[in-house]
Amino acid sequence: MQYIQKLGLFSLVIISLAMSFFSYANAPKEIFWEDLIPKGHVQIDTQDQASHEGSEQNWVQPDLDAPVVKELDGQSVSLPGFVVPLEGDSEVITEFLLVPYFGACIHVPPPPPNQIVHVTIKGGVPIESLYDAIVVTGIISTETWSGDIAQVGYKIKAVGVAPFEL
Amino acid sequence: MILIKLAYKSLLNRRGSAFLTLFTIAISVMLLLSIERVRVDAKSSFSNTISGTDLIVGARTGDIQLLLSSVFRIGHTNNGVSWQSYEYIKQQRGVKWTIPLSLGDSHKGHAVLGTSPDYFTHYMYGKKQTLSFLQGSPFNHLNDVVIGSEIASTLGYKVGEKVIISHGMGNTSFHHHDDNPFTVVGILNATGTPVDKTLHIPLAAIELMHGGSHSPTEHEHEHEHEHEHDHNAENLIGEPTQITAFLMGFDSPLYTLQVRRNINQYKPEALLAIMPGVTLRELWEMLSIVEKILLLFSSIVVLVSLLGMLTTLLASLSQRRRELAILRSVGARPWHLFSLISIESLLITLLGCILGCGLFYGLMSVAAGFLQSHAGISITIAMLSDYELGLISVIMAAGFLVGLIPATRAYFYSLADGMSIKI
Repeated sequence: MQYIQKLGLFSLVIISLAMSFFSYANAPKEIFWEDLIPKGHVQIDTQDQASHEGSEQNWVQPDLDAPVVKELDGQSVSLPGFVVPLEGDSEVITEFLLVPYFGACIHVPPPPPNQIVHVTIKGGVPIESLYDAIVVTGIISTETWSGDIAQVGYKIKAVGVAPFEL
Repeated sequence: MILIKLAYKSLLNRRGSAFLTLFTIAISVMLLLSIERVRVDAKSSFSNTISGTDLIVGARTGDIQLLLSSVFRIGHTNNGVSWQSYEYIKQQRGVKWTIPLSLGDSHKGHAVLGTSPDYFTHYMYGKKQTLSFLQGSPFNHLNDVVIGSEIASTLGYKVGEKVIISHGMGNTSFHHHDDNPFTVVGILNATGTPVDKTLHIPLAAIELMHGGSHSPTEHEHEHEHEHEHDHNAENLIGEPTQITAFLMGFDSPLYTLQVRRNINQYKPEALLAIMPGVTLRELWEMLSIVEKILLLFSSIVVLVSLLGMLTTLLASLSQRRRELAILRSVGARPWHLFSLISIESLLITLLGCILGCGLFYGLMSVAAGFLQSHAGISITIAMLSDYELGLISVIMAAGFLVGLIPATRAYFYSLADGMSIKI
């Protein structure tokens, strides 16, 4: 079973490599999490918020209106991160959140919205372990949705997912 | 061609031992296929049950416990969520919809779920499919009930029929409700999830059944008078003191992590919020070792059966020296004998696999109903999947390889070996 998953991941690597080779003209730009914060914006440190807990302030909303970098919209990028699965079946994940550190969903305060990317991938991708970092390649967009007030965040339509290599 | 015929005839001549060997292989193939099919289907029926829900919130317990009890109706939670907390969390920013769930009652052993009409619009299963109605519509009145497809088929209920729902703990506290039955207003389409085995009633009705000490008196009042009246404005949700759990959906999944954190840190009440996708993954990781052990054991059973075939073939070789020598004397070359024995082993394995598949389908059709009702696993009696065909071809290859051993021995038998009589 694992071999099949490994094989799947491996073939995805091949596909994404092939894609990056053929579309050499607009090869995906490698970006990192800092690039998702607009220059000059002072991000509230999530660790600082952690120290506020214990006080009566309960419903912490860390910088929910954190701005996004509008210039990134529509660009082909590759971004490393960890997976928090949202949708999928028993074999593959078709929709997940990409976060900058492992355990963002468990122990530590979650990152502000501009440090979370909502990734959708057609056909899904087999993710063997949530502990392993991956690199997502695809078209990033700044997504706006309306709730009580208009809100923005990042979204990637992924074409390839590969294991992260240092 | 003549070799295949010869092999077949020769096998037929020794049909006793050949059939037993074949049967051993068939049983092992059936075992392997059944275990794999149940494993794969169990996994997919679990992951198909919930979709499109960002968070499940309940009283603080284990992640997996909450998931199993709220969605799969396996086990139960020991505590609920107070209505005040629900109302508060519901109003938070980014929350698109919430569905309160109240479990704990039953109707003839089937779960009764108290919920809001939102359930029929927002609850999703499979690949983001919403529930659809085979007949009828969602509940509009306090005494309406919407039933799952399996309830409709096993209990034979139709739209318009009256059913009596009993509190799981006994019937002393609501005896006056026995003569105030619920009316079936809708039947849902089959989903292959626990929804099929659930009766859905308005949340306020659950509260009424439980003695209704906290529900407004007007409800009781209404109850005595209304029967045929149309009460479109009826409060179907009411003001229960507590609910078992609730499902949440957000405007954007980017809210999920934050709200989850906030609910887990919620001070007035110990609550737990889980992301279904993450918790299912945790469940798979926990179960993966069991899965591997099951696969290992069924593979060993297959191996043992193939070794059984090897033993029979080797044992029969010494009895067949004469036969082989005669074949040699009429002009068969050593490689003819080699192919003969190989074809024999291949024939046994092939027939064993075919019989095994037959037995597998027989077993599955017998066990499907039981697994559905007792374990909530819906078994698909479909064609063999690529993976299962892969398993069978591995068995075939292994059978062929095992057959090479007696075949090689037959190859090296000399003509004189079989002709001279040995004691």
